[in-house]
Amino acid sequence: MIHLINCGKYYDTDVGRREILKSVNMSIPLNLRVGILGRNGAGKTTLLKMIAGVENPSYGEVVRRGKISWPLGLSGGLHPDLTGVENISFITRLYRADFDSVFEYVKDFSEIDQYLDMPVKSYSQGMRARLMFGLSLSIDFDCYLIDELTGVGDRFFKEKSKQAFRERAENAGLLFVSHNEKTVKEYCDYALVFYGTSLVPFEDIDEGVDFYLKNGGTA
Amino acid sequence: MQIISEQFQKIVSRILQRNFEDARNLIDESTAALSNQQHFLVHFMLAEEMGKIDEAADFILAAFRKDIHLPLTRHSVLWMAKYLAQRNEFRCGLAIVSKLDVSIDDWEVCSQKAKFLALNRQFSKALNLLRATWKHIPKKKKQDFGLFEARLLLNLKHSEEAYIKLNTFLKRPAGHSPLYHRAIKTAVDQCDWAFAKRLLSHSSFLFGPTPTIKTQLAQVHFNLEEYAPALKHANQALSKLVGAGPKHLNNLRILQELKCDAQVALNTPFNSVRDLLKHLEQDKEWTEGKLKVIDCCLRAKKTTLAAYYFAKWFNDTDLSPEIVTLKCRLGVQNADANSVASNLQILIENWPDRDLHPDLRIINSSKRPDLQSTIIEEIELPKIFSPKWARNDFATGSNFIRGIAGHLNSVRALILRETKARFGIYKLGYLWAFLEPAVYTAIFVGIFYIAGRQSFYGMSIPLFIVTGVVPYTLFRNCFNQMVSAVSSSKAILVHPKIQVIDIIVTKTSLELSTIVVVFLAFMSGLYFYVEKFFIGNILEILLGFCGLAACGIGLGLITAGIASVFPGIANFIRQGTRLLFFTSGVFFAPEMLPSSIRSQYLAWNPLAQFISTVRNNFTPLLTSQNIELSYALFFALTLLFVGFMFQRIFHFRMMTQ
Repeated sequence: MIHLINCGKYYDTDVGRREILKSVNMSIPLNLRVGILGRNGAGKTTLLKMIAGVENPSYGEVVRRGKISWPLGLSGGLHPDLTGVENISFITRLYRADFDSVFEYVKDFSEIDQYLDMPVKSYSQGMRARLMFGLSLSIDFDCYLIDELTGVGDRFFKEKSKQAFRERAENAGLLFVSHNEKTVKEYCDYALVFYGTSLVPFEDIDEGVDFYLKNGGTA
Repeated sequence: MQIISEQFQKIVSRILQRNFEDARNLIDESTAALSNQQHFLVHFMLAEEMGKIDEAADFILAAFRKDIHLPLTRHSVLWMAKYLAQRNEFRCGLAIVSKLDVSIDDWEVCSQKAKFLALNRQFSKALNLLRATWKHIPKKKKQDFGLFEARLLLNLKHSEEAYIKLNTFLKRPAGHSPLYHRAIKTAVDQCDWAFAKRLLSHSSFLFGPTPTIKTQLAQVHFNLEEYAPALKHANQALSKLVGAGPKHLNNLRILQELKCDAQVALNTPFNSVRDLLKHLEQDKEWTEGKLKVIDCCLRAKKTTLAAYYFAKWFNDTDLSPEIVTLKCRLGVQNADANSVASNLQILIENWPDRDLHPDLRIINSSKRPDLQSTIIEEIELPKIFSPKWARNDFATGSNFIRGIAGHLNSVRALILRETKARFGIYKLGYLWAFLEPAVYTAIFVGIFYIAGRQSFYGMSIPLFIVTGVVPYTLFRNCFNQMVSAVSSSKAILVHPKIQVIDIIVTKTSLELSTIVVVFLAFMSGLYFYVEKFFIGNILEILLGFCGLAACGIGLGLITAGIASVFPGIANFIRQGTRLLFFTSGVFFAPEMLPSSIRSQYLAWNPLAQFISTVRNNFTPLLTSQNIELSYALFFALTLLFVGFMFQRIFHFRMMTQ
């Protein structure tokens, strides 16, 4: 369970204070597949970072109960000078996971096993995303935080990742950030929509998407 | 008829001859012969000629009540009018003035009539009349009538025009303070705050800053949402009221409350708590004040303080809606779900009509908390996302040992990762660690060889240089690593398990261990192939290294912090540290310099002190009498402290650059 307790976030920029979230009170169960919808710059990534614990809220508290993944975005955390295998071993050490099983999973999932001994800086954007994606899915979390990642990869990879998600979602949840309502609909059952500086929850993803499409422009 | 009129004329002529006795007798004799009108008229004339004004007024009033019209002269009307006004007989006064044939040239009658109209609350008629006759009013009377007009305008709620009139005619302050007071009151009643503010500042200029005016000014500023000036004026009023007796208690309370509200509006609720508490010391019975204190504490999120005052002032038997609301809010901030629920129930059951406090509305309703618009209000918060934290969710499961173990795990993973990355694909990364000091040493050995020196203080030239260059390299590497510690690790910081401190520890331990290995390698080479040198206190050598590392880390973190705000200045610092190579005794010993330079400049340089600490332990000829190790260590720790502080302050800026 993730508790957002009177949680707010603002940034003091050079042009004044910018409010992103204003005193949110909400509990998010870990085993749900929740899509977070909002326009560009509404604060979706910031919310994900706060939930992960990478960034602190300006006021209030985020209480996490359970294993939550790091916010999974484009190429985050891969060392460009290290090879794929070395990056995998770093993550497994950091999260105290079993290297062999993770390695097998990633090799199987990402389909780049012939490149895994090359430095990551020689990978293409799609290959990095596959590696990242496989890496995070290979470690057991109660909830996966995913930030606009599924935009990359070809049709087959997308099919595959959707399948992987379904397998994972049987006992784990998903917080999925996107401004693309179609992908959100594919992956999620519930929705949190940014509206101004508040977060509107929906029990039905279609309702949430409707609300987003109708009121997104006003946010 | 003839007789009657004769009788009447007779009486009138007697009166005019001022033969009052005869006239009175004649009136008594011929009562029957006179008509009602004539009766009143002769009585009035008699009283008028005798100068008995109240008697005359009685007759006028009696006639007015019987609805009898008396044809009075202009003179007697004016004479009567003032007296009638004094006796508050406004309707009668208006009646007799109206009966005169008025032309606008006759300003006395006109203004009198206007006054009576005003007194009968026919302000607009009065105003029209006054304006019609305005130009006939003599100059010296104009001020009075101008003010009269202003008063009429105020009554008609034309505050702007009234203000102009007041401005024009209120040259002399004395005696008009009631008028101002009234004008201000009118403006406040009309909620015309801007006008009230102008009037108040004007009157504070005229009559001096009395507490009343200051209080009103504060209120007006508050209503204009100018909270800072409101606070200022409230403070001034308070300072004037200090020491005033209990009769000003109410004023003081109003002012304190105003200040508190202004602070809340300024979003600094905690500032008013001290003042309120001070006031509560004298005014112990002021419940609203106590409530305000707790409210401010809660707003400022000082939950423990709020709980303390609540327990001090109130107990469970106090049941007013305000107290229960506070209790409930206290529960919300303490995350005490039971207390919130029970108190909320009490509130809703006992006072169903009251508006709930916004903090509680979030919890009470199943609807959206901050209602930005009606769209959101209509959407129900799904049960599955509704707040349901319990007290044990806040019990932090981590303990100290587990925390340290977590950090150690991250550091271990990071160290392995860094090491691998340094080796890179060519496995040459660590060659540089040896090569760089070797090159420096070779250069200086060459220079000294050409200069013809063989040894310093019993040390061979290579030993002398190595004991300076390697420690300095530690400082410089630490500095360089820390300047880019956060900016080069942004990508890895997406892992919540990795904190900035892990990165700092990783880089420091890598640098320190690398340098120690390099130093050991150089020294053993020198020991076995060049000379068997003296070795002093090894712990002191290590202390010197640690001090240098601390200086490097502290300075590096400070520079990184400054770089996130002023990149130019940081660049300047970075170039400036290069000078330290030449001023820190890397290729000379402080003892070689004249003692004046040594004590004035070098003694202040902690790097020179640390480097000397290392070097002095390799020769018996150099003593530590010039070393102030406690100063150097204090300096290093201060740098470290400030560095970590800067890191915390500027972390967000560094991450977003």
